[in-house]
Amino acid sequence: MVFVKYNEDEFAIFASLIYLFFCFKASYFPKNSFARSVVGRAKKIFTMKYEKYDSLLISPDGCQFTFVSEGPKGRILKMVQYTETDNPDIYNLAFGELLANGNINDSVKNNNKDRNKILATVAVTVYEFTARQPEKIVFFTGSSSERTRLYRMALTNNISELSLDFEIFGAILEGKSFIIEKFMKGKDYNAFAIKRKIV
Amino acid sequence: MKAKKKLKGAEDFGVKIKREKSLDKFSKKVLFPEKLKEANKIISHLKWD
Repeated sequence: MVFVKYNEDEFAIFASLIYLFFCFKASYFPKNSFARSVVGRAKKIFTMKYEKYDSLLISPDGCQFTFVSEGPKGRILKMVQYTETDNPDIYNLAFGELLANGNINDSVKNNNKDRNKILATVAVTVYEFTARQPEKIVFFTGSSSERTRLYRMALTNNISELSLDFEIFGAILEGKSFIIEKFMKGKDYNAFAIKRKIV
Repeated sequence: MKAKKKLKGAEDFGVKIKREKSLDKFSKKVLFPEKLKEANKIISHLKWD
């Protein structure tokens, strides 16, 4: 096999690149062919870059999503909501724990040891929401400076992939205004906005 | 006319997505009022560079 001299990380990077840049589909190639197996593996690796919950429920209007967080604290129902802001072109993204009585616990800590998996799943809802409403801008900010920093880091670490599908902006407080500009690594933004690139 | 390319959604990441009618009850409810208030505060002062 050609890739035996590469370790798994190197293969993952290489495979993700060919999948991303050429958007190959395994079905282009004959069954049982080497090319088909490589592309299939590349897709699997790319889509598994971050572990995420593999099942989402969506409301008929496409603005509410739920999924189940699983960890040491048990199964916790998570709710993601996209709410129209005072500007009808901009939707606010928020998520938290959905309690049995229908109320929301949006406290920062969930203690279910799956923070990154939750963030990756929320990111998937952004793809789904903007696939359905690509003209809308998704706006989000952290409920604390630590949380906003976490979102900034998540955007920074994934900027090259996200930029293929989204325009990404950061808002920074200057005087009494928030200047919104194209997202740049290393800047201490107060909030973020993303818009789907329409091809 | 050239058909628009389908935009990448949840299923492209291997995530199953199921429509759930019962979630409709949340559609007219703001579940995160504090976060929406904060967002509106920032959005009302946004200046696009």
